[in-house]
Amino acid sequence: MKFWLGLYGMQSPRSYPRSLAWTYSEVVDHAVEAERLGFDGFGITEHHFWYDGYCPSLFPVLAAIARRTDRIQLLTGALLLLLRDPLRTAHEIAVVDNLSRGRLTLAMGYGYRPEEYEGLGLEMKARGARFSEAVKVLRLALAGSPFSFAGKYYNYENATLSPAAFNSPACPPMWLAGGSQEATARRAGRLGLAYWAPGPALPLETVAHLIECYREAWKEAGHPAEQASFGVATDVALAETEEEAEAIVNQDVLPVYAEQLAGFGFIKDEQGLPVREFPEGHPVFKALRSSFCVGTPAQVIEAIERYRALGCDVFMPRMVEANFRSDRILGEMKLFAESVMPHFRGQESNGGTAG
Amino acid sequence: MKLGIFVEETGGAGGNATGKGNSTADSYDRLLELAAVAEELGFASLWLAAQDFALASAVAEQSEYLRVGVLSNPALEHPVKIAEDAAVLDLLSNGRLLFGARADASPEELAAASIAPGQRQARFEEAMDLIVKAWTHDGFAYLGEYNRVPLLTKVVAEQGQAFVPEPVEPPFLLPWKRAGLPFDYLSLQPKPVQQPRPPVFVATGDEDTARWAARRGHSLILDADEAPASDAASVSASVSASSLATAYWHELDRVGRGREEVTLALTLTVAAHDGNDTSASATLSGDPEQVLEGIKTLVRNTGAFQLLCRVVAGYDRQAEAIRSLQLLASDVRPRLEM
Repeated sequence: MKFWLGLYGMQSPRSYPRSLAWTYSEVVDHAVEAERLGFDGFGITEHHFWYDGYCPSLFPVLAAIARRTDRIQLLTGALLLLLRDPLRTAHEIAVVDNLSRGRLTLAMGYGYRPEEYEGLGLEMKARGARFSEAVKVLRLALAGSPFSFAGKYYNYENATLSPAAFNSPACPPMWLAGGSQEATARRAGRLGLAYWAPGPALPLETVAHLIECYREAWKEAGHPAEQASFGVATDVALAETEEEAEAIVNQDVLPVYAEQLAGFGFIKDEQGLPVREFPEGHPVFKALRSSFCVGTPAQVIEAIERYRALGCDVFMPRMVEANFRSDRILGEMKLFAESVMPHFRGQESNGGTAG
Repeated sequence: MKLGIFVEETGGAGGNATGKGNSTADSYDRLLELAAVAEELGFASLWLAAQDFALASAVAEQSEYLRVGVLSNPALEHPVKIAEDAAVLDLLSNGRLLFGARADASPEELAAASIAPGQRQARFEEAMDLIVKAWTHDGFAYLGEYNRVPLLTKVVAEQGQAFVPEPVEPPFLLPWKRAGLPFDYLSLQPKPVQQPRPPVFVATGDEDTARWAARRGHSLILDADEAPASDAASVSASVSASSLATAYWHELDRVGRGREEVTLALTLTVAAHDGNDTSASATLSGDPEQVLEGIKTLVRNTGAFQLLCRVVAGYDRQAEAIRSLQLLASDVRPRLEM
């Protein structure tokens, strides 16, 4: 199992306001540290028009990280593929793929916030079908040969991408970052993409079911069975003692979640209005808490083992929600690399840490 | 007089298969070597001629003081996306972004973007205003002929008239408002580091666009490579560059803007050498003395404040390009007083 650290959004939330320029210099430093500690990959995340400065533009950030690292995989987690023209996105992908000499991995999602679509001049209709087309366009373009594509949503005639992907005609690895919908998991399987089941607030049984759907669709589409792969991203609060880990959750993680959930308008009350206040004990926290991997290294190992039992290929611990406190995140990263990762590395046949 | 560098082509055929030091990845390494040299030699800026915010970010990561310029294509691309990318680059470079905007476009570019040639100018002006508004307003909506942000607007057709768009409140705002969330319209996030906004440079070969830039208080980039010079010492600003400059300065005066508000920059292919010229393709090439005279003539004819030296780079020309930068920094720049 690989370990990819994520997912940085370069935010300045009200519960921990700070300079945004600082967040951009911090994310590069953290990627360098993640590489030094032996993480296999490093992921950043995208949203638009969000009050806390959430990063809307992944490729310039990954380009900066690419210049400061040598080995670590760079992950878009997730690139909101439908918000842009796929051929222009392919160009940005190719630039970062070449800058990093082939270390880019694309996790791509539909996007789900209407304001992001409307703000970029797009309607939210037929996202799944458009996504499938866009992936096909990316694959054609990144291979580097002239191509034409006549689809329902995208059309290109005799277009050539320059530069092509670093390993062209092979494309960078592609993942579908899906919500909790079965249809999305199936689409990943059909398209021959790796599947990323997002962790927060998703019970393990749901994840297991989605993986099942993904594998089924993969097989039906006739892809080689051994190439199906999936990952999980979930929040980790790790400390030497259980009490410290609980403190990270209570002091750092939950306040940020409360603020973000209120802001994103995810949670609606009986009248269908977004809930603004999340008092302690609010039911939404129960689901969240049960999806977190919290505790000492032994406890976190046990929690991750549940995902490994499902066949998880990449586990993405998200420590950055720890109230964006750099010192705590760096401490957790180190502890994770030294006390959690070796447990899983030891069980791999080659014990390798290759990216 | 400031000297910057303007990089047109980063070369490389794509992929890593050529194995002769000529892959895209290698050409990026050469570009970043030029950036490091430029910073070391005290050049003011490095510009990328293409809308390539990721590559520009690598240049910023490679440097500490160099200002990083990007020529974007607001007439061809979604302006909100450009505003976002530029803001993120300004943050990554800690406020070193110079925001360039190419007003002109080739027929092929317009066709690829499905834009009627007659709309290009209006689209460009709209997109520029939108970008500046998005950077400088907390919440913003923009209602133009070609751009409506947010998308949801009611389009009213009156008899015999064109469609008239009217803003309506996007549905996603209603639950926010009812719940008392403190948001009106969308806010472009993040905002650039430079306040109220990064410097804006319009690159054009068109007089009306140059006048428009003057009215908006934007700086101007003109191409001085247009007219080939017969010999180095007598290089003069191409007719178009000097007449464009005149139109720009006049319009600034006419609308009462001070010349100190803006910058006029020229791009010119320059190759300074030790007397063993091999850069026949450069508009201005010669030993430092000849190059100095050429630049002085250009400045006289245009009133330019900045010269952006187009670098003739490439995997077999890198040493030459670096030597030229060294001579420009040591023997030419110190004698370019303004």
